[in-house]
Amino acid sequence: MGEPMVSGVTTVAAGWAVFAAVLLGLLALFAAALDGVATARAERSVAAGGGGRPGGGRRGLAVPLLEAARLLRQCRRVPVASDVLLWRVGVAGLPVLALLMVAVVPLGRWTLFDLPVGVVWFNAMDVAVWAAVWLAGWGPNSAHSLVGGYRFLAYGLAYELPLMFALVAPAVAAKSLRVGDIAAAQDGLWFAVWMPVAFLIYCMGALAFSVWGPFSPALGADVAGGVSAELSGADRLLLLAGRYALLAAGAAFAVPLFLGGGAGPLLPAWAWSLLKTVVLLAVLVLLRRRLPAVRPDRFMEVGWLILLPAALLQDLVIALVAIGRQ
Amino acid sequence: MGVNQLLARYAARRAHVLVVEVPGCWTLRVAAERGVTDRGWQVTGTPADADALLVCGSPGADLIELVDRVWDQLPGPRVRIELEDIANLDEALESAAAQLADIDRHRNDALTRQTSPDPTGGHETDEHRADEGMDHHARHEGMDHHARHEGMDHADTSHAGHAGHAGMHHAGMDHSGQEIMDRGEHSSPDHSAPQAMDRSGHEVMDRSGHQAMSHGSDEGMDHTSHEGMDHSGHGGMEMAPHGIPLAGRGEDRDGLEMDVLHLALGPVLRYWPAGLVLTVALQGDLVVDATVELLEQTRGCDDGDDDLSAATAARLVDHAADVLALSGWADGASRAARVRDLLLDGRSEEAELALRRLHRRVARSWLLRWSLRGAGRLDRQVLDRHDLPAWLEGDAYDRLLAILDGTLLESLQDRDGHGAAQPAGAATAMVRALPRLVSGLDLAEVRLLVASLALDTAAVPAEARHG
Amino acid sequence: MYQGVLVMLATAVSAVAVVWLVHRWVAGPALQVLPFQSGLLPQEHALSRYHVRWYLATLLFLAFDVEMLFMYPWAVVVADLGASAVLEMFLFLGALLVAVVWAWREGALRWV
Repeated sequence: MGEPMVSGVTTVAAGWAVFAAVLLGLLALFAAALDGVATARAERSVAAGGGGRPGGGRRGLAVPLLEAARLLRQCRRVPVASDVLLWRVGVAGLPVLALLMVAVVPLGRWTLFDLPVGVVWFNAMDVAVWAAVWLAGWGPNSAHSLVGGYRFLAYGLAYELPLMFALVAPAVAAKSLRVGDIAAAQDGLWFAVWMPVAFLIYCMGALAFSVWGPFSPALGADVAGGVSAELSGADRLLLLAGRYALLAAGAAFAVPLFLGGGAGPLLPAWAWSLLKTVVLLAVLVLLRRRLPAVRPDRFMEVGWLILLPAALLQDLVIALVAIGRQ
Repeated sequence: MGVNQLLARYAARRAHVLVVEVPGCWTLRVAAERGVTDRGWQVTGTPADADALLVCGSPGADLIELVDRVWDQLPGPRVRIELEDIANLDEALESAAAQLADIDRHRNDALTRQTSPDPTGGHETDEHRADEGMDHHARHEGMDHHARHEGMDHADTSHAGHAGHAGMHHAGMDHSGQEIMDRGEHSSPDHSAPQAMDRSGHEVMDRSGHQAMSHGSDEGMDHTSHEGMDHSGHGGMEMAPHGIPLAGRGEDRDGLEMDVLHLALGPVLRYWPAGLVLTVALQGDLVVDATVELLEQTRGCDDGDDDLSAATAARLVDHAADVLALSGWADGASRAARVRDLLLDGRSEEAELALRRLHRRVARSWLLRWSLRGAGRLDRQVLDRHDLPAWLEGDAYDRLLAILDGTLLESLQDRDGHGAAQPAGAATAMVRALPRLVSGLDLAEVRLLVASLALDTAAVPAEARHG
Repeated sequence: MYQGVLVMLATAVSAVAVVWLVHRWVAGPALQVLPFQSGLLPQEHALSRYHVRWYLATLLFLAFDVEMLFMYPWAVVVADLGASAVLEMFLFLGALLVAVVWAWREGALRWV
């Protein structure tokens, strides 16, 4: 379309959506491979003395591809009296929502969807993840999945509000909800630096809506995989890929919001966007194995009594600073 | 080479394996899990995700029935491995890999296997032999197992059942009476007898159709009558779509009426004591009632460990690995598993060092402490009331530390020279107390509690299993 | 402007469809099974009314969620409107937070 420049970001032709989708797919693949390597390293054989054998961490690199091959030929199984339609909607919802999230994320100077309320769009998509995960748990008519699905909702109640208020902070500072404007407003100083609380809460939110790491009990080992307990074949593939895609989308959105967007020396803007995304994504991926799960009943109080007031205070500080600069 | 063949070749490099531990075959199970991860495969906790079902040890009749049912739940391509001797492990995994890559085999399996389940207890496979994977499918081809019992059919079938199998039926009735007495606090008034009878008749009918089924043991029947008797009394047949009743109701703590779901935990469950079956009644994810059962101890396995105290220590660390895995701390669980493997390999110095390091990490992790604090807390009075060993006092985190810092190991060693299995009395008391201990907890806590008990079901003597 | 996101949606949905079609072609028809219960039979259908212990937290959440409707537009204009906008908004939020503290003291955020 080549619309005139708004806030330093150009809207590109709609066909580039396919490219953006492929890019997110590659980021998800990177996340999965990194997790594969970390897992292979942690589980390396004692006998091999720590990676001497063809094992080590390197073996983990191929894991996402091997898993994809495995799941593509695995039969679909449907528990009796499943709510198949809702189940599929939930499972496929995760990758679809991740792709819709990145539609508003500019890559350097280019954006696909220059929505004046891009932040709200992202927020809407991440709330829709609630529905997707819960449906994926409700669908298969299995007690384990059902418990998993409801666990996710319990997390949602606790993480979503702090996340929303964390999203507001950059918008206040940039006086805009347009993602491109927010990225442009950070010349010189990243928002992550002067609103660290909002940034950390945002990262926690990204982990949470990706059902990742400390927030993974919805897929917990204690309920035989929870939401994923009855998933096989392509359905399982979509759910797992969707999770990585959500994590990648979360990392990608943090870049214009908190990490200065495409700003940086030497490299072109798109490269900086990508590089920052990859680094943040790697950190989020590696956190998984290192942290124990935060049990949802414990997290409820933390979310409401610590994170929510913290996010509000952050907003207050940012609002006062914004007025002061006026 | 077709796409299918190509996918199969890649897929066989990354099989997910559901491991079943026959009671008494701990060593074999651990060795099998090591073998699986060493190949770059993965141990999984649900049949939906599994490509292979690995049974460690030779299961008794009651376990066979359950394993068969889980086998029916593997999506396929699927391979079943029955491992009785560590020496055959590599060979068994190798052959499993070859079978997974063999696409013709799975085409056959997909064509011949039962494609819809029989919710009344029948399942596809009658008998299994380790080396005759395909054989039983062939034997089955003539039989028609497809869900014949759907919808209104029920009534007819069950009448036939009444007529033809009076004797069997009677047995079913007996069970029902016993069951209800057992569950005094759980009585729901609307379990009407005639409907229960219908269902049991149906049950019996179905089983007799299976001819070759050799459920010699009472346990098999016990389960099925459980099913039929306890929870079928809600409304007519149209209230039981696909032969499974809808959830019934019960009062919650506040006297509100809530739906009650029953969920069996174990025996085919990861991070769970072998052979333990805890059936919990859930409102939401909250356990309101529970019954416990131990599967029959079979011949078990020849664990043949010459260094018994190393094996005891390894078992304890394995329980710690379970707690850590259930707490969601993947790296902690991997570390614990490494300590266990070092102990089993007789590298005690390295093991001790690694164990100390792990203990330090666990003791320092405020997130883990915060997450486990209060989970499955047992205080002194509860321990006394149920005759439980004193070291269990505290919550899951305290018990995790007790396992890791060696105090528990020492207490076991003192009792009996160089230390061996858990004392039979303690293990029995734990199993008996379980329904009381888990009532009122949520599922996550139940799992943490059970894992942190470091329960060795094999230590429960046979005569205590039905008490 | 909306073309980009529409094409993205179409791409996403067709990617999912392709995965399902390829899977159907490679893996064949679906299999009906019983839900996993450690090998035992399910005693009833799992689809039931679930006892959500955090029900009270959902009510609190709704109050705050409605508040978000005001927060987003406020975020855009607050710097221009100045101190009065901050004061009004945070008085409102403060009132809501008092409600949270009250609910917490009443045990609404505890589960069991």
